[in-house]
Amino acid sequence: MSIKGIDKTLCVNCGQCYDICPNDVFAIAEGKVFVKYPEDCQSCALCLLVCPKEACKIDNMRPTALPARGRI
Amino acid sequence: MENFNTYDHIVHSEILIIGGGIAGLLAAVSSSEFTQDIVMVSKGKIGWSGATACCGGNAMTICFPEDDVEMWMQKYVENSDYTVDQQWVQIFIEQSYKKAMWLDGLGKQYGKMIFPHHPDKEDEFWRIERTGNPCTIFNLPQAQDTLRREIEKRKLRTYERISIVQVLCHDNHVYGAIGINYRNGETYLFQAKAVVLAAGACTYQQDLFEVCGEGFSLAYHAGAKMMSFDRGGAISRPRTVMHNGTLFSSTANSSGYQMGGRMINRLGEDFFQNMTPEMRKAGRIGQNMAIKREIEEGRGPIYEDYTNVSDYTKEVMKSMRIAQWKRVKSEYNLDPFTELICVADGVEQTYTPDHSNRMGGVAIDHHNQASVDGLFVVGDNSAPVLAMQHPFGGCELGWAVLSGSLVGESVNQYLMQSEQEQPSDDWYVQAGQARLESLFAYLQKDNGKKPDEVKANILKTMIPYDVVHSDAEHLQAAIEKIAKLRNEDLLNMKAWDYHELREAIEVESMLDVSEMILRSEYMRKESRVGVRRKDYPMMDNVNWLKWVVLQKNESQMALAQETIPTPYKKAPQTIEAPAQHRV
Repeated sequence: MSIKGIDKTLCVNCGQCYDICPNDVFAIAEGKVFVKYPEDCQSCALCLLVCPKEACKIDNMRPTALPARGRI
Repeated sequence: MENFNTYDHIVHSEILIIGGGIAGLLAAVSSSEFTQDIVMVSKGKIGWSGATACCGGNAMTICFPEDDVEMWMQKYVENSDYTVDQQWVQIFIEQSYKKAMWLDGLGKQYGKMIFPHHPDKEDEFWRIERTGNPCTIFNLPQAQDTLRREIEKRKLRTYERISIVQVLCHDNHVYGAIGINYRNGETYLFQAKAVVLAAGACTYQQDLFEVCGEGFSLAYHAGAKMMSFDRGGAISRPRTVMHNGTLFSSTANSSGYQMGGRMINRLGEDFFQNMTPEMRKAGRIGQNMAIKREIEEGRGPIYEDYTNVSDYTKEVMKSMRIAQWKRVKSEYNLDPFTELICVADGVEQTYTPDHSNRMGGVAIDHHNQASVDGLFVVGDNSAPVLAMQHPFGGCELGWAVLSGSLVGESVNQYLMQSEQEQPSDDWYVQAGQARLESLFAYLQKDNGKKPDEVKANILKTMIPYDVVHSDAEHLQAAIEKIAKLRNEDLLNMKAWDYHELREAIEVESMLDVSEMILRSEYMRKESRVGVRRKDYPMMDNVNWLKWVVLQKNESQMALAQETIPTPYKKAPQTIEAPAQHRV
């Protein structure tokens, strides 16, 4: 639902996202970590918390058209 | 127990704790004061699962020694429209500070600041006001880290990624539970003399599927009495504001706002300060109305603003919301402490049941024991006695910490007095076989509906909340739809792998909880707390100062009413106004 994916140019396949994810979104095959069940992501951001390489990318439930930054 | 083919693994312990959130962690640590023969099992990662993962509470109710205890009794009782268990409020008044300070002291042993001090007064805890009641700032990640380390230090055994699918009972006594590891399909038998259920919460919000009410479903099928599912409660939020805020939830009740953050409009105005009396009275709905007004009158978008809080506050906020901070950083490449974060540019007013659950729970005595001997229940799983039935800031977390901290001693007392003998090996095989076979059948089908599809159909039935739950006609229609889903979708459901088997188990739980909510609401013929019946808009203390309870009777859901005891605070017989719009 809200995980965009893993930036494989940064990922070192340490498996920490797989280890912590409460919704079992990630899987490991042949030593490679990948997003297997993106629809189950609840955007809790625990994968971001543990990823040593900032390789996990998620977004929120808000519309993508929403401007992110405030400019007053 | 050799040649035991039904189960791949057999685990013995005195105490089995089901659930790896904050209540489960505390139950494990408090129980380990008496025995180390404890097993913890969790669907997720212990210390990171449950409602804590998605809700991540950051303030809780504690009755400090200097507090006016009458104020606490009054707030708990009146905010719950007299439905709280007043004896539990008294226990909260007497014990909550002691238990919180014990946790605070434990944190200090690991260099953690679980209860941060006030920004201006280093010798005082940081207390804020949420929904009109005092709340103490609580650093959940620091508490989780402390308790994880303590569990490791005390050498308690832990099992993760296991969905518990049945609590094993015989003659109204609990003897353990069975589970399935949803990553490899291996089955587990947990034999235990006492079980602590700490797997509460159920959500009908589409993006929060991790908490699906399995703790409720397990207790129900074990024969435990359940209560207050008519207190479903609704939360209103503008759907264009993300559910969890950016750092905090985007309301004036949020800890972020109360700690000094602001929700501002395009002109930089803290518009919550300009709410009309009507908006103020309407709680969260009123805040949504305020957001909507700003946008409609051309002052949108709406931003969260943490740029002006002190360095100390930034440090505490970041520590409390570290995962969310990283999310904002990752998504927008901005630092929420130096830039504004846009959270809403439009408002579509909707009602959904609260993502963090106000769904009722297992009925317990004042030692956390359910109506099934040896089954203890803590946290969201048993929340109706002290929390969850009403929007009362910090009450769920307050209950999780209080109940988890207290339950160890109660379990110990039970074990010392219990003379139950463990059933035979044959009994253990037979007790779990049918359940496991019925679940693995989802994998063996050739084709069928995916669990996610069935979940979506449940959501369509339960939401929109203010329509589905508004009157007898809609409730009856929803009851019939849930029955249809059970008879058609569930029978045709196919799990393609073990991950989907976990989801199939969740679907079963969600159907159970849906039925509990709808049938309980249908029984009550008045409005109270979060639920407002259009056909019975008034609160009726003469006939309905009652809990709706339910229990499994053969295969039927049997409902009844129980008069709510009011030992400390009587309810007025005459209520002039309709039930408050407190959601």
